[in-house]
Amino acid sequence: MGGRGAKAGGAGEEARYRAIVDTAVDAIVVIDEHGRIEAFNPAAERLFGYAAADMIGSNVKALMPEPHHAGHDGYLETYRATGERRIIGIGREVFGRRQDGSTFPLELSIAEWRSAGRRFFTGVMRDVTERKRTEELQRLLVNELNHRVKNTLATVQSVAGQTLRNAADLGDARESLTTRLLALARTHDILTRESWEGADLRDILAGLIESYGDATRFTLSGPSVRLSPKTALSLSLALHELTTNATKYGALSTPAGQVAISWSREGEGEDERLRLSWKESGGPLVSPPERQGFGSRLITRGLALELDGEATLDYQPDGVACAIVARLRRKPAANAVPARGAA
Amino acid sequence: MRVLIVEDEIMVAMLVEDLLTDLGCEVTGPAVSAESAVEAARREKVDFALLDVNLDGGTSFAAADVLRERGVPFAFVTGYGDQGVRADLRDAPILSKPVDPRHLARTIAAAR
Repeated sequence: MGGRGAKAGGAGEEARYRAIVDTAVDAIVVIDEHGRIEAFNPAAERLFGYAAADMIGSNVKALMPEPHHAGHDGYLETYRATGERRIIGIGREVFGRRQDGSTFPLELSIAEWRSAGRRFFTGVMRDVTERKRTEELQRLLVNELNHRVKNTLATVQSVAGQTLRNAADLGDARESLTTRLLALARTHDILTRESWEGADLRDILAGLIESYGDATRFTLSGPSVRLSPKTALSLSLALHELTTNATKYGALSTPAGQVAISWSREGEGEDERLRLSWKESGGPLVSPPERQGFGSRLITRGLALELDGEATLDYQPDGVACAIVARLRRKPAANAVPARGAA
Repeated sequence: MRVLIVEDEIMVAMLVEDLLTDLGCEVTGPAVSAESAVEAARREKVDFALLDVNLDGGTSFAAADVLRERGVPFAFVTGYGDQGVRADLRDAPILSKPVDPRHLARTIAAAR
C-alpha cells in the first residue's frame, strides 16, 4: 500500500498490514482528516480505474459523484468541529465515481484511527452493482409471480363458476372441473418448459391427445407454429372442450369416429395468422345443442376476441367442425382495431 | 344499468360478465386492448365500467381518463394491487383478482 504518512509500528508490522491490504478483495483507501488520499490499494485501482500513484495526495472527493463530491470537504470540516458522525463506524450504501465518469453503487464502511498525533480514516468499499441488480430482478419476479398467480386463480374462479352453472349434477361438475383444470395445467407445463416464452402448437396437441389416450382417433397435419403464452392457454382449453364434446356426443363417442386437425400459417410479419380446422367424421348424426355450454361460449365468443381473429363452431350433421383463425404476433399499438360489438 | 367490461383475459371477462349479469346489469364488451378500451369508453353508452388495469402490455388508464371526462363512474380490477393503479386514479374502487362477488356487488350498488 503506497502510504506517505501513516507509519505505524516497525517495518515488520508495516509489511504485515501491506500484505493484507494489497491482497484484499475490497477496495481500501486511507485519507487524512482533510480528505487527502494517503493510500490506495490494488482493489481500489481496479474498482475506480485510477493508478494508486495518481491518487496519492489528491482529494478523495474525486471518487464521489455529486452531491457528495461538492459536499465532502464540508462533511470532514463538520466532523472535525462537532464530532458528529454520519457514516464513520456505521457504514452505508453510497455511489462511487470511476475515472471514466461512470457511477456505481458501493457499500462503504469507514474506520477512524490516529497515528503520530494525526487523524486518518480508512474506507473499505465493495461494488454492489450486481447485488442491486439481483435484488431488483428478484423484486420484479416476485411481483410478476404474484400477478400470474392472481390471474391464474381468477381463471380457476371463472372455470369453476361456469362449470357449476352449466353442470347437470355434482358428479358431472366434478368431472368437468377436474379435466378443465388438468388441461390448464398441461399447458402451464409446456409453457414452463419454454420459460413462458411460448409453446409449439404440436406440443399442445400432443398433450391433448396423450390425455385423451388414443392417438389413432386423431389425424394431425400442419407446420410447426409458435404460440404466445396467452394464445396457447386459450387455444388448448378450447381444444380440450372440443375433445370433451366429441367424447360425449361426437366422433369420439363411437368406435370408428375420427377427428382431423389441420392447420396452416397465412400472411407474414405482424399479419401472420394461424388457421386451424377441427373436423369430426364417422360419429353419430350431429344436432346443435339446445343451449350454449362453456366450450361453445369460450370458442365462439371469447376465443375470437382474445386471439384477435375468428372462431366458428358448426354443428354439421356429419360431424362438428370448428375453424379458428388467430393472429400470431401482437399488433403494434398504433393501428389497433376498435372494440367489437356488444355482448 | 349498462356496464362496459375491459379485460384482456377472456376467462376473467366471462367471469365478470356472469357476475354482473347476476347483479342485473346489462354488459357490453369486453374490450381487450388499451386502444379498443379507449374507443369503447368514447363510444359506448354505459352507466359504469369495469377496467382491468393491465392489457397485454398496455393499461386501461387512457380509457379511465375518457370515462372520467364523460362523467362515467368506473372501478379497476387488478392482480397487482393498489400500487398498480396510476396515483391520480386511485380514488376509483379497486377490486383485486380473483374477484370477490360481494365486493363487486357493493361497488355496483354504490354506483347505482
